[in-house]
Amino acid sequence: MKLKIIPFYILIISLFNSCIGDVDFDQSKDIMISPVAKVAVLQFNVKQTDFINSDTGEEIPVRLDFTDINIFNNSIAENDIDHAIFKFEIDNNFNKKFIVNYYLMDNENTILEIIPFNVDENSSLVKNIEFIRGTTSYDNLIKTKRINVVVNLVPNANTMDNTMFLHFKSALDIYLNIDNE
Amino acid sequence: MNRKYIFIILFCFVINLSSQNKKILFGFNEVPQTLMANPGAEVDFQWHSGIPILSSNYIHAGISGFAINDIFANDGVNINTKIATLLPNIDNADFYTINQQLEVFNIGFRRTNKKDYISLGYYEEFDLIAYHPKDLVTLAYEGNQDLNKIFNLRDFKFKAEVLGVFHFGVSRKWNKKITIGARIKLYSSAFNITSTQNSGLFFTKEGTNNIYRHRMQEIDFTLKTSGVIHNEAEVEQSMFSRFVASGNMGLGLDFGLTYKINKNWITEASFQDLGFIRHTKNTTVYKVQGTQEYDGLNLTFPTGNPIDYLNQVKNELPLIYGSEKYTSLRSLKVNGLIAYQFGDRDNASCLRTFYENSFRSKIGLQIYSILRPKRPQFAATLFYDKKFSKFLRGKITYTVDSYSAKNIGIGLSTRIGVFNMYGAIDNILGLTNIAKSKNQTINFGINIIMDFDKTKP
Repeated sequence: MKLKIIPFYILIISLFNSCIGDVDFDQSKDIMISPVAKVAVLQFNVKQTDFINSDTGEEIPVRLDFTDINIFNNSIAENDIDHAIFKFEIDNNFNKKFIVNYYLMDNENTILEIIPFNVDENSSLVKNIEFIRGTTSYDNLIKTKRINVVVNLVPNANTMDNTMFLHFKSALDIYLNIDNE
Repeated sequence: MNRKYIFIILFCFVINLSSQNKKILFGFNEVPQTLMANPGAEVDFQWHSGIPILSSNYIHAGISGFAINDIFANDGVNINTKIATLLPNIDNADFYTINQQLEVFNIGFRRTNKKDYISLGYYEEFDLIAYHPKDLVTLAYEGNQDLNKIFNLRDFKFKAEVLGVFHFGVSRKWNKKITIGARIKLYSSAFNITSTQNSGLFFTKEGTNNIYRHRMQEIDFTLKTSGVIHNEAEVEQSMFSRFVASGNMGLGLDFGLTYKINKNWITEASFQDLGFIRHTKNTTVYKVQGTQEYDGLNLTFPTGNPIDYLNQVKNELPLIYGSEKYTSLRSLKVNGLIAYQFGDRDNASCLRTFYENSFRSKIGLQIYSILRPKRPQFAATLFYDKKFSKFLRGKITYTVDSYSAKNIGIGLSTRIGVFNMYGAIDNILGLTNIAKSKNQTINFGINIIMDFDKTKP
């Protein structure tokens, strides 16, 4: 009987050797993930009728609109953004020039940044602006709670028709470095 | 030192170091808790009483996709490199699970008709299953930088519950060949969180109206909770009432069968926890349903009051939540066994017509399955069960399951007078380096057992 039991004892004794191998849980402090968030921000498509007073037929030289945004109203945005690229694409098939001003504002309507666009008639424009952590412009981007867009029609003698449009697109590529601290 | 005491000391270390699989208890009729795995098990007890709190402690933890060592090995490789290598290899069928049970009491006795063995008790259980939400992890890890990637919400499935279980069971030896049994369970859910029926897609593409177009398509997300503590008044609710009469009550049934095919062949089968819990108190159900496409806030340059563009977007896919009754199903477990018995019979001098003494050796095949939210999990086990003496019985198993194909387990049960101590370990190879192990289980307990005297009519 002793001989039959011995293998079980050996097995049990071998369990004394059970252990956690050479692992280092402190490595968790070094964990960093770097996702990229591609986010559509603002867009508009204005037509000839937006610049014509329907009652008088006169040109309206300036149009403006604004919206609140809360992309940056969280701790990840405050702490973990490495840099962000604001991307703009503008298609203008008006036979007139436009000056579009893109205002980044805080919640007290203080202007933090102005991003201007001079758009020639019948042209396309692509603009990427990088905001890098540690710069003033980055800090302003993070504080942004409202975007105000002002579209200025630059007068000329050309006559507008109803096929014309000014298509404005904007998006953000946000590069994050989220660590364990 | 007496051999028995040496064994007890070693046994205590086993308990401290190792883990067990309930597959080992199935068919391991030396231990009263085998009736919890198969209420139709044939046991030879006149009565038993588990030592309160100590009669059965069970914990199982498993990760099917990787091992701790894959990430935290001290191998000089940057942990972020290891994670980046590992993540693509974890499948959406991989899961994380923890199951813990603590038996508060367990008693049993044989009725005067000698055919029926009654057992009853109460245990606490914590059960968690979470599937690897591969797409959501990818979204969190990489973001939506890949405009060809479609993220599916379907893989977000998890369930966690804490409950108390009263149970009452009867095992009846029907005739020389058949023993059947059933157990009824009364569940009191202390805490439940369930989110298993989700669907919907999220993707970002190049847009027409804007540079990007985001679409959340046919989102159907539901998260159900009960027993979540929201305020101090709920904190003051006693643990007793949470685990015994929480108001979120349910019923369950176990059923089992032992069939002696002939002198040497035996088969057993059982199912456990065919049941439900109705959650009616302290419940909250969260839902997000619908489709939303977003390509940026669309300015329209109104002439009048400005439009609240942001709220327009928010309202398209709202989070709705409120108190709502719901029903959760328990995870049904199924066990099966076929075995060949051989060798000497236990206490061979006691020959009887109705109660035969069992063989001391048994070799066979077991199957085990548990229904989980995504799909059943299966295990197949080869085992060798040997009664060495009245003092010691052991069972060794080889299992192929969701975690590995080289899972060796061992179960030991010892009797010293009326005291029974048992313990079992699953995946003993994993103990050589737990960090490399994908699953470990421990189950141990102490009972007082009075054997059934088969020689008396």
